[in-house]
Amino acid sequence: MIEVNVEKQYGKFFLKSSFLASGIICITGRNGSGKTTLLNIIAGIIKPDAGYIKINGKDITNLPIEKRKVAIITPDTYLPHMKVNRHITWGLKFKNDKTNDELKRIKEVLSIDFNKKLNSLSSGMRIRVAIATALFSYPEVILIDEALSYISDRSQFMKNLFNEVLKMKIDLIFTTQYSEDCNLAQNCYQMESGILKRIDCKNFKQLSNHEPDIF
Amino acid sequence: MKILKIISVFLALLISLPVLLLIYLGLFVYRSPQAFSSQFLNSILLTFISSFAAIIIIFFLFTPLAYYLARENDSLINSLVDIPASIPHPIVGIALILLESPVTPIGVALNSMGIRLFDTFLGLTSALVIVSAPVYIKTAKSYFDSMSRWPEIFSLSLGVSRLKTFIFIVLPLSIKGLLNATLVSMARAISEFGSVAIISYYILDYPFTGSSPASVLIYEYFNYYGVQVAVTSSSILIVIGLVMNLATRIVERLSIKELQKI
Repeated sequence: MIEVNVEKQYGKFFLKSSFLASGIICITGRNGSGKTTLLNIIAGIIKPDAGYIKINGKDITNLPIEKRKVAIITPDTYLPHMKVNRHITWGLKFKNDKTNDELKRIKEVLSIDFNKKLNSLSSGMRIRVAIATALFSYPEVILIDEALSYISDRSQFMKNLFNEVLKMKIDLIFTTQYSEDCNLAQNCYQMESGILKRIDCKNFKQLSNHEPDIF
Repeated sequence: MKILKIISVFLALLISLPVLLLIYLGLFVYRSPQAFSSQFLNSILLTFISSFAAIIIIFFLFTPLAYYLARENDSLINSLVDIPASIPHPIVGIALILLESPVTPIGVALNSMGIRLFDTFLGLTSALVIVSAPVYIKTAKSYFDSMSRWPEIFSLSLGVSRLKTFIFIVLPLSIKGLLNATLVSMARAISEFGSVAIISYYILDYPFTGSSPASVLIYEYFNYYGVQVAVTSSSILIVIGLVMNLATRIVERLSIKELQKI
């Protein structure tokens, strides 16, 4: 369960967002509406001016990034000098007998059938590996900022990922500019000029006053 | 682009002209025999070994500091780091002498442990560390500033500690920049005169007993034998420095290629 109630000001831009949700959460909105800022605040990269963030009832507002159990994925979050298998297990605290089987299973679920260095992979492949790495670190929340749009078989990948995340009881927030992606989420929000509005995941277009940015 | 290249070549020649002229005069015109003596070659050896020792110490001690300054805007520590670079270097030598004098508690402690700085290899290396560290820290900090922060943020967000992230993510990704910073500050150490002329005009301890750092000896040659010996010895120092710089760059390039293969 994620509870967020934060404020952040950048010059004339003012972000004031709050929500209480769990499971798969979709945030959509135009470029510059504040989606990335909100995710960066939840991850601990940006400090909010006011407000709080709670994960499963625990206040993490003032915790450093490494203590939050919130893994963030963007198109740039990968460790370029590592090979895939080492990358995926990078955040794992303890390895045991089941680690190899689990690694194999996660790779299958996310269609990762390669073991090259990350800097030699395509953007889509890197993001698959980064997501597998996040899953393998067993966080409480995974944040995916605009990264899913780089995946080639996006719809099937998202279904597999969301099933896995729900099985592992991890909450996942993803931002997207594709309206159809919200159909797969359990809770949906639209960000407009820093304000977060709840929307219906299944009837997104009817509820929104604005056309989403689709590119 | 072609005009830019011509201008760049012209400007590079312009700033290196005095040095190129010095090398030409020293190695092809004067060729003074004193500059090829064992005394001067020993002093070059002393200069390179002490500079190398200083750089190793600087790398291990000050890389974390450069990283800290790149990530935290700490103006107090930034100002402290700038102090050795903003004062005349002979003062660094005087300060080191004062540090080991029995009038200070640190001096008493150093003396009781048998640690001497005046006219010793340790004093010479200490002076080189103090005057070269700001150059290293600034160059390394600029590199850390320019690096993408996403790999380390990603690692931290996976719950990996800051120390482990620094050692296994930040350092391997910044090795090229750090090697460059090392080369720049090593060049600074080799060319140091002011502080080493005060703290270690001669080295009295083994194995460099009686040797002076190359910059000091060149100054002495200039005073006693005149410009010809000083120019030839300077040329030898510069050429050896250039060859070492070139060799390090080649090693750097090869090692980065090897690292990329892993």
